[in-house]
Amino acid sequence: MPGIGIPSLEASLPPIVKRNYGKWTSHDHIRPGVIKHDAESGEACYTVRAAMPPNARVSTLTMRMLCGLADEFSEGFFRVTQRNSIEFVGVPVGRIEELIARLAGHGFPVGGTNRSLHNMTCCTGYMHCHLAATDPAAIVKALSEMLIKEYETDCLPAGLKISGSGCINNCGEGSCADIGIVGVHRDLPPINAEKLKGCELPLVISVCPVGAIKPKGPGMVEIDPKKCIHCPACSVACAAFAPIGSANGDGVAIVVGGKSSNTGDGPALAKMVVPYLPNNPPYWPEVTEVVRKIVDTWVANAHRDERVGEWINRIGWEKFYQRTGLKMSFKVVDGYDQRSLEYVRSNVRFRW
Amino acid sequence: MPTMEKIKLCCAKCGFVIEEYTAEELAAVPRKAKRYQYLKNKSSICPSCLASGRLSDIRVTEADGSAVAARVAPPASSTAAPVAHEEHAESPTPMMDAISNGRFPSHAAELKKTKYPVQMYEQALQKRRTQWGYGGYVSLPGVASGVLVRSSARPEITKGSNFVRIMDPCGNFFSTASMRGLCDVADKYAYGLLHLLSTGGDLELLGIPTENLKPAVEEITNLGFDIGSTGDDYRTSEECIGPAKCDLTLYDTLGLRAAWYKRFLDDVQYPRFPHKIKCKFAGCPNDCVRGCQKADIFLCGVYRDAPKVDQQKVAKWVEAGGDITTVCSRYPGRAMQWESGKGLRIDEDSCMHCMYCSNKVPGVRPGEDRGVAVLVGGKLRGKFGPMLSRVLVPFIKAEGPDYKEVFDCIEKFTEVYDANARKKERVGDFILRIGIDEFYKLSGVEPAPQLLAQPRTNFFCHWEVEEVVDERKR
Amino acid sequence: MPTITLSGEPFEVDEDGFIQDPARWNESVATGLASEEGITELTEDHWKVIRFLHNYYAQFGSAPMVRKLSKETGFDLKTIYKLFPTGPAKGACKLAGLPKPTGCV
Repeated sequence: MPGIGIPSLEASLPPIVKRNYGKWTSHDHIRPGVIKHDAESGEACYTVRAAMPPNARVSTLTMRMLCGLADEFSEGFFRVTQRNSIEFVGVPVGRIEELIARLAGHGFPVGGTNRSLHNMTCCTGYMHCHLAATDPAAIVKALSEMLIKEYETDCLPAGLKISGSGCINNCGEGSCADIGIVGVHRDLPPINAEKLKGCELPLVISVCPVGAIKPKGPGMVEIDPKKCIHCPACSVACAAFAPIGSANGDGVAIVVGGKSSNTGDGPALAKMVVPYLPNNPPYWPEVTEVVRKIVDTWVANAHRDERVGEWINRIGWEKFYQRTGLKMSFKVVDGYDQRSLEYVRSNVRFRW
Repeated sequence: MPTMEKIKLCCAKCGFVIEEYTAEELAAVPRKAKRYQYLKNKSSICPSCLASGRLSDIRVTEADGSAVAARVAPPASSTAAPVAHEEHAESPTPMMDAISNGRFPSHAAELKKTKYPVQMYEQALQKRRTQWGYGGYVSLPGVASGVLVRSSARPEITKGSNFVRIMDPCGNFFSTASMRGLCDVADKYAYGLLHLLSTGGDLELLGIPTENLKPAVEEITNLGFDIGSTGDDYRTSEECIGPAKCDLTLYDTLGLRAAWYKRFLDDVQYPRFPHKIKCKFAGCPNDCVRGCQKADIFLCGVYRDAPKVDQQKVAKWVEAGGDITTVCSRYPGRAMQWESGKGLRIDEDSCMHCMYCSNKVPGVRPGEDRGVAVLVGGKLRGKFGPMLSRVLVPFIKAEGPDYKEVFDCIEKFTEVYDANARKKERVGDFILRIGIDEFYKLSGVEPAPQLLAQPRTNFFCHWEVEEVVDERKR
Repeated sequence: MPTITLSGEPFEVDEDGFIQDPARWNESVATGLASEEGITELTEDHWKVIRFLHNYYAQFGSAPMVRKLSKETGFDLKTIYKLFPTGPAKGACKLAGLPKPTGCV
């Protein structure tokens, strides 16, 4: 039963890692999906990185197949990266091509390192979540298919990270990525009076970011329709405000420019550039079209090692909107945040 | 009176109910009636039986190493129309079928190979609304956290689904033996489906019936894995790969995470905080673990002295075609200059210790005066929306095996949050509500110019009476 | 919504057994639900926690945070888990007639 803690390092690390732990001297990007690390001992460690299904959802059948490959090529160990790729660590250099071919045969492309499109992350969406305003897994699948060349080749100015979230809770980390897909609701939540009895009203009132929920007589609340920002906060706090969303109200917002690294212009959250696109399963053509435009414009314009956010910082939002052909709306100007006036410039350093 | 009796289409092999209709539905919707007849005539079997029949195919493919024929990619241009239902009229899952093929692996194809109730996902795509109901935590005696549930808004498809959250090993390395053990648990008690890595850093097993929760948890712990990280507790911490493979790491991220679990395991498994606290550990300012954007408590490896330059190695790299021009032009603050014959010069005033030079130029390494910076308050949801984390302590030593100094700092900070924050108020919202100056005072950290992005422009400083010494009273 | 009978009185409960009308709570709720929360016998220590929770909810309309509960009852978190194996939120709050704690991720 619980209380044993996580498995020990001794049990989970492969032999090649244990031999050279903390003694790596340099790294080299051999090709997309293959990285070489050199150790002080002179040993070289080759890692092969392959894509995983969106949301890292695998059947046990597929997992057992991948375990079989790990037994054959990487001494019975593998790892999962922070962006849900699978990595075979310590593949013998002479067998790398063979592993890549075998993975391709099972439908797992190899790539996503250095200046390529990295594996996309997303949250659960319609597969298992009651708050989802869109299905990021299907969108990420469609985007991955569209950008397969970018995944497999080092053809981009810098690394490109795309993530998808089902709603603005952002479990899928859309706001952390160069390009983020974030599901949005646009309807008012319902209020189920029966279920409200089983809720903590002070909590419900306090979680609303805009204070749209107010008491209305004993044991009842009302939502100010002029204030509601359609986030799922009340729905998470109380079942009376669920289910949230509707087929026509829900959709997808696109954000750009997120980055975690301290290089370049430093860490940044992604900014909303398209407030709404409709849900159009199974391929979401409206979304893939916008992402294609943004990626193509960035590739054509950016300097080497300039991430999407840094490229926009250099050329300015005016040229970003102009060159991608997207339309700016007042919905992307923030009236909520107390520091919101900073989102609109004071200088007149315009670009035309 | 219309009859509510359901006509069931059951798996010919195991009896699992694949689809259900009322007589009225079949009479009123010709497409459904046609599909029902087709599947019935085919003696359809459920995805689980279908998949186990395919096992032998997979083994044959592996044995002779032959590639599976290239699969057709779906149209991805803007002119592509959504799949017309008539094209896949005979299949019970036309939407999922449409996204099951292509060069990239498909979650829909994976779902179909398991006991996951595929109609929940299929109908969601068709109706453009999730078919799941309310979510929450499950109470299980002896298990304070780690088990969650989603109820179902379509009880005729499935009643609801529990899932277990397993904390990943350090570096997310798995042995195939342990992963096979987890697959066995998933097959025996759950849908046979793995959520290999959630964004919270856990491995989740979906679809465990309530009566199987206890035996499933026991088997998981017998395999050497533990569960937890749900509710208002420390969530599973995530770290970058660090010394396991990276030559740039500034401290032992895996060792620190292992020590963190030893010290704080109770706070991961017994929720007691105002709201969840996510801790992330990055080995260097590259922050491959997205700690700055997402972590309530973020430990980022930093170094204070100048980067070390091996001029010979750099010169060799430039000679071989290394793009030193791009690197110098991209260097923040234009702090780096290269001159053939003179070598690489880094301006100390401009150097931000950001790791860019170490990333790109072989022969440049981070300095030796290493520690961690503690940043707090990052988050993506909550009252004040997405926020980057803010510096609490710019430099503190991170020395194993106990990492006592940095963990004492984390613990002290956590207690300040626990004592003062409101219910369901994330760390970032708490800081914004009480004011960052008040927050620093409560945390007892030393003022340091490294904390500043810029000093204030207004003059609204509060002075306590005691701070103002009346000269006349001396 | 299902109904259960405790000491002869009907109570509406949700799928997790939490009573839906906290205003109707009385001590029979605690004694009636104790066994399903893994408690064989309610001691004075149990009642101390239950009464504190009920009174706090009656006064403030929400459940107290764990820190407050620990401070006022004098029991640390581990002790509360020993008394209520399913925990303060799911176990003790249920017996005290408080709403089900929410949260899903």
